[in-house]
Amino acid sequence: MSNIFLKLFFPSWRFFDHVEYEIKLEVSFENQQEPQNNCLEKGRLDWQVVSIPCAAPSFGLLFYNPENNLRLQQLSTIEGLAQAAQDRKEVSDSRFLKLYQEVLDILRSRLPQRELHLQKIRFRLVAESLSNPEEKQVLFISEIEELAS
Amino acid sequence: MIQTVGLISFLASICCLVLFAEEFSISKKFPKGHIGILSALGLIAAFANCFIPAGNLASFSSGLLLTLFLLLCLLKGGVKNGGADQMTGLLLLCLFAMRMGGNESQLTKAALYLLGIQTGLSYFVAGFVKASNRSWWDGSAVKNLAKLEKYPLPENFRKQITASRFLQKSSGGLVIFELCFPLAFVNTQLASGFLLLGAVFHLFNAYALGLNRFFWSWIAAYPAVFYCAIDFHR
Repeated sequence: MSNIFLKLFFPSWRFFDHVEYEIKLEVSFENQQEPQNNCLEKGRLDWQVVSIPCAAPSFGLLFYNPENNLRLQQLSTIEGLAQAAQDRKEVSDSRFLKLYQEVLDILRSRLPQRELHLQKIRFRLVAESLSNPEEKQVLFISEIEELAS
Repeated sequence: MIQTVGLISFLASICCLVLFAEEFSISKKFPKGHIGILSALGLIAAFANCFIPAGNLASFSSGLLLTLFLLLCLLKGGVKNGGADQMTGLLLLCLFAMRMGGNESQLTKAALYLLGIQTGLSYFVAGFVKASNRSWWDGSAVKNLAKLEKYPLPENFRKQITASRFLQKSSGGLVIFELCFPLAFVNTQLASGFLLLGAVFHLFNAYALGLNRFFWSWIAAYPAVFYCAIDFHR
């Protein structure tokens, strides 16, 4: 809680200091059954990029843009986990575990429901270079998880 | 001073109306804790705050907005909308202090200065970190920014930016604008110019990058910058 207060009242204004990589969330279905859903894009090998679609820009979205703000919140969580995974010093790092659970929630909300109870998944976070899309670095690979709640 | 506080209060209410309406909509799709109820209460408080000019009721409504916003951040698990959430928190904290201080008090003046100076810093620090990165001067940062799938940039505009050297090089202009923003405190003419340019910049970001909450939270803080520009020379 103190972290939230510190961020709110002693803000950091370091916007876009580095624009070199984009963090991608990728998922692998452990039983190899490919889900029939357009929110998954083909990735390399058995990893598939989880795309989080956004609304097309319009003037009305200046006043009401929940889809895009949800999307930004989820992408911020994914980037937060990528950072926490690199920063953590012990396996039970509480910030890391909290973000890990939040990313599982994102997968629950973005992956097709009917496949979820049948499958075990593993996710990973990949930093993709913006100047050279071939340049990729895997930052983190999760344990095998069951998403069914 | 009273007009400045009134204007900040009105603009902060609009900022909160946008924020709580969006959070209410999100909570219906992805229920999490009591965010839905909290957002509904926030909508009512923000709407009421638009029409309360001053006095104890204004202190109560601004305090309520601040409390609901902090609870929302706690339930969401942190500051998830980055700079927009940080500016909204600062705005609501300063507004609450202004309402508690009342007309012409030192507390109100201090809160106006805090908000004004932090707004100036938000541009200056952003400009400073960009200036120390070569990619903002040679245009590659803008080219990379246009490639980020994170933002809903119109496809034709995305292509134009990645192809046009002129648009990429114009990022140097943005760095200079941000670095020079503290000049807005020198006099009201400069303040008007910088705030107008800043509003256009945020409007563009709201359209192209989908950062609509940044627009409302920064616009609501602008009267504090203008107040500082006037007060410095009194």
